[in-house]
Amino acid sequence: MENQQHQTEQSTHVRGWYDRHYKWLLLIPAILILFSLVYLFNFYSTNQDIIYKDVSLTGGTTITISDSHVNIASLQTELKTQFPDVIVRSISDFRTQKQVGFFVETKADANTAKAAIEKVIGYNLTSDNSSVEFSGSNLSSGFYSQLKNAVFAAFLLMGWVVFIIFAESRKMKGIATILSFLGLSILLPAIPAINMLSLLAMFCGLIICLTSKNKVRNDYLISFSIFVVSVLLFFIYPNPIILIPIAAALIFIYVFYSIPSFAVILSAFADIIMTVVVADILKMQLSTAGIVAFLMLIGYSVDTDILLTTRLLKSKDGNVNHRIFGAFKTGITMTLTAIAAVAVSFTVIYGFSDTLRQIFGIILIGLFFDILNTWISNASMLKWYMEVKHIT
Amino acid sequence: MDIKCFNAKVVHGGQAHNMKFNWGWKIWLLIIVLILSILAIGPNFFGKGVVVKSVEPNSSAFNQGMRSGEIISSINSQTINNAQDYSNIISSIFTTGSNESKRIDIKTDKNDYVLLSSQVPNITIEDIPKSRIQTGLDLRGGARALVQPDTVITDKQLDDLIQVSTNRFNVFGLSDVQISGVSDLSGNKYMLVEVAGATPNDLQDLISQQGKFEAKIGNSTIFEGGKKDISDVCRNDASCSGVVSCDPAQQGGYLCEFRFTVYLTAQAAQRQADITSNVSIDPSAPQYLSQKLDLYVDSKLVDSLSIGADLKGQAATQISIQGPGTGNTQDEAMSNALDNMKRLQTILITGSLPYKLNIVKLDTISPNLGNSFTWLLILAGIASLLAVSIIIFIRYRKVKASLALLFTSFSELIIILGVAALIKWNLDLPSIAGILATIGTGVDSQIVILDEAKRGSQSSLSERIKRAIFIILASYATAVASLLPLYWAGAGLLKGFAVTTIIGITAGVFISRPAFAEMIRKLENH
Repeated sequence: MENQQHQTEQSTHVRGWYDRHYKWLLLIPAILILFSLVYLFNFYSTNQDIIYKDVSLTGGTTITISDSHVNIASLQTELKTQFPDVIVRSISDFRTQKQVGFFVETKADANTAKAAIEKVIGYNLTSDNSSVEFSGSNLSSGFYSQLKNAVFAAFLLMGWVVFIIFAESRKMKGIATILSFLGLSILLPAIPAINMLSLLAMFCGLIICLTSKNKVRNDYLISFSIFVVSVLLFFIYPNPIILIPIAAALIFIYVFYSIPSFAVILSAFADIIMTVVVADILKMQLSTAGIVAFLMLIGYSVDTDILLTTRLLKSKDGNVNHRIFGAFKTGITMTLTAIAAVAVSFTVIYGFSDTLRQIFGIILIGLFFDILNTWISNASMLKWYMEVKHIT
Repeated sequence: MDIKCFNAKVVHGGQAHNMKFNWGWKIWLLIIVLILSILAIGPNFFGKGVVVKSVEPNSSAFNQGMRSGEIISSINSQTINNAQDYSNIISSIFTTGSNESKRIDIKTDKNDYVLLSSQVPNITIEDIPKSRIQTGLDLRGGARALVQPDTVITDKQLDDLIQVSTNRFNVFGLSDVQISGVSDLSGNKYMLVEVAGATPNDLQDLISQQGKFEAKIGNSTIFEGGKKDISDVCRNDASCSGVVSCDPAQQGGYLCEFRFTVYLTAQAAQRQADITSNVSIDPSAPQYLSQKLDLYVDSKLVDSLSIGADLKGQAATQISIQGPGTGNTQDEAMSNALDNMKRLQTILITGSLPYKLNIVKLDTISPNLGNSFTWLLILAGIASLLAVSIIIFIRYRKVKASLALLFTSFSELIIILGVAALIKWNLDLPSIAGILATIGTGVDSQIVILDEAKRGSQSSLSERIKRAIFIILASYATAVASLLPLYWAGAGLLKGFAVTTIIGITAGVFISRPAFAEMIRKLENH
């Protein structure tokens, strides 16, 4: 009992401090986002990309060999003379911590790499003792650009869903729908199902606009012309370059018509770029699986943000701080269980599978940033917004 | 048996806990779906014997009526429990070097077969599967090739390509092959070839070879591979197909010759007659014609055959084709010659493809590495579940609610596996990552419900539960929206992730999480 009282006092103290300084807290994520953007810009200008890519995204060969005796270091030195880009890593079993095999990664093609390894280790590689994975460079770079588009599309759709859920203006929801699905159909042009869906969604967007409550003559005109322009672009000029004005228009709509939605989208964006920066600093070479992990991260990141926003805007229990702390208790449990589960899996799989290690590693980093971005960036932005709008 | 026990236990446990009120329909729905999922997974830990995967057509086992899917329980009255037993017994019967005919009695669940043969039966077998869950190539081992034509093709052409390739694999004698057409986000079309188990050595040739066979005299084509010119090819018959000679080669090693008979159509035979009638007899070797019959595969000269002088102007429908095989040892040369023969026969039967093919991705996964991987994944799963349980117990200190949460997460796992077994989805690494993602978001959603229900506040319990469901539905919508594009990316190789995640969160949102909310409501009201 005493202990609880003590806690309450302490938390009242913390709350007072929080009320005075919460806007300053926003500086931390702001600085981190700025740093990340500068870092990535720099990284891009030296590496022509914002990540290091492994052979699954550049093309090349990965050969996994079960062999508990080969000396990894000397193998690497020998192979380096022939393939300067080669990476050799051992595979170990979590339970015994002993080497059970190793894998070799190089941009060379499968047969060359196989022959070179056979020469060093002195026996033939068969389908019993080894796995060989080869991807052509055209295919892999194709995969990469598709996965990038998938991440952009995921972001676009996520933003749209969040805006539909939390925004108030029906007309703007309609316009955001038209623009988002125009963007989607341009990002993923080759999928007939998506094109049909986009056209349908754009039409629904128009209906939503036209049936919105504030009926001013100009509104009809604006909504209708946006629809017509979008449909025309959809059919005659589906060029990626118009994604830039679409994205700009959407951000504009999110900022001016629903700060809470914008806060959710911003914190998901911050999670992702901060995680990319850490991955770059750790010199992680991302594979297709790594990029999939970023998609998973969007899901995890938005979970807690939606929880926070719903508790703050749709519930009337207690004051704002009370609701933030309530949401924090729930959200931090969510994130901590996720971190615990992922960290344990990461440890078990660490020596064994590069693919899963990367997925778990990226989610782990992302979840830590999510704590910061949800409970500092998003929470403070929402609190500020509610104060300005006098929402209690 | 298992299933009934499980069912009974759940119901019993439920009655013990909740004697005073009825279970809501949501909980019943979860239990029913759970039972159906377990039935779909069909666990079978105690099955004995080995299941026949394929039977070579026209082999004696095939002719006696043995088909794939039968379960072999004993051979020569010795019980077979697993694939190891099978290979032990077979290798003890057929000791190497002996050529005499052996009698084998095979007893299966359908029939008894008696084979008399000097060779190992032409059937492939595997252990009875422990459940209906199928694992992907990256866990089970096997080969996967993504093949792209060098020109842009239509859907119809892709279908034709798949048809010809399927035919080739059949003729070549590989049965456990799946070929399908896939396309990606940029609209590229590929043929995806998946071979389970050990990787055949010739896979690369077999897939990518255009297989354009031409037999020419000078510049005139006599006949090509395929049905138009070739009515039949002799194979699996020692009288007209096989290795005819093996000798030490001049450059060291050994050289073997194979020979098999090809039956031409009347048209092709006539063409040969027309062309040979204009070819003179070789003055230095009067038993042959002066020009040879040149055999080309994909425009590369494979062999040149001398044409007997008596064939000049004759419409011969039977032609004997020969070719070499080399190796360091006689056995190696022999098996190479046989392989070359098999490949040439395949091309002659199936004809050529209308364009060149590039293998843009080729993965051969060793079955041995996959096995230890599965165990490690199970270990990781159990360890993570344990970690989550610990945090949940520390946070809530309520045994019943925490157990309900873990039960719900576990049932989501069972439902995903059940649906995967039902739609015959191959669980590969991306799928497993998807399952992990689902369980993660599932636990998150249950925490939201638990906390909404627990919070002391002005609004009523059902209002709060409704709000929890709103949060969950909103997260669900964003998750599905963000995963959807992945379904098409990367030529479908990452489809597994999107599929399992969407199955999982959909089942979660509409079945298990409402049931969990109901459980919590009952527990709180209690």
